[in-house]
Amino acid sequence: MTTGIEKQFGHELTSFFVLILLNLAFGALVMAIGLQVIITSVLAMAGGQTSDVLQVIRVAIGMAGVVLGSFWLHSSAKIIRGLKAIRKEYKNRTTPVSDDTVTGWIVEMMAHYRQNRSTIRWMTIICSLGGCTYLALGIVNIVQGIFAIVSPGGMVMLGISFLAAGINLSIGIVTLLFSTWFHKYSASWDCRLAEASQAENSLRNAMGQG
Amino acid sequence: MSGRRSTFEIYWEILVFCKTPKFFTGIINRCDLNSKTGQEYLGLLVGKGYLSVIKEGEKTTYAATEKAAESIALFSRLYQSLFDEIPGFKL
Repeated sequence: MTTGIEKQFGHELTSFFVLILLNLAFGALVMAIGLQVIITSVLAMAGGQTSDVLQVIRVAIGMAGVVLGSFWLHSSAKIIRGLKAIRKEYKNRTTPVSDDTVTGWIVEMMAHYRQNRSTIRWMTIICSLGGCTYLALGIVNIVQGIFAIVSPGGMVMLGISFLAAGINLSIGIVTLLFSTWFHKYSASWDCRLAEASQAENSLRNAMGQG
Repeated sequence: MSGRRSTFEIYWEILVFCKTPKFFTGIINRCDLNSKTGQEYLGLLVGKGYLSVIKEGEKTTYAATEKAAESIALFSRLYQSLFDEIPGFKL
């Protein structure tokens, strides 16, 4: 039984670690793109290109991206800190793994989840907001491209706008996917926490604590 | 081990660590407890017969009893069933 649980634990740990790493990278990317959007919009406003209203919307969306990105980075870094220690223990395990060692990992993951539960919930919200922000940016890019057709050199602008839209929409979709994964992770661990508190009742009875 | 643990998780950690006799300082360091809470946990486990106090001269160590082995096994079974029965997370 322990070997199966050990493998399952390893798969879950790796999956969650990869999710947090990807999330960390995306947080940085979102922040960088947000900054880039602000800079290009401000430059375009100074140069008098396209409508000012559209640029103001882009600056606002870019700023939202920067703020979300910084929350994103901070939260991911917080989660990864505790996870690294558990992962190190798991990687340095010597086989055959004892029952106590496997239970110890489960206890550690449980403690890690309890400690980071609110952060993980925030990550779900941040990823949803981030995803929507980037989908919105992508749509703005498409609208910009369509408006650019009528202006001189419009086809080049159309190409650039559609390329930017492609990037932003891709980030948006992946980010919404992250949100779904975080939700799945939370659902699984919330269920385990609920079961663990029931298990504690059995332990309380067995240990004669009332 | 740190983070937010339940009381029973801390009991389990202490009992597993004390499978071989351990000093008080070693226990609180390993289980990430402060001196006051460490005393409380050990007092309770000694009182319930899960830990025995071994005194050799001025040295005092704590060791898990046979009664503790049953609780450790029950705890492991219950906690491992959380992984066995609940569908896990996969990317």
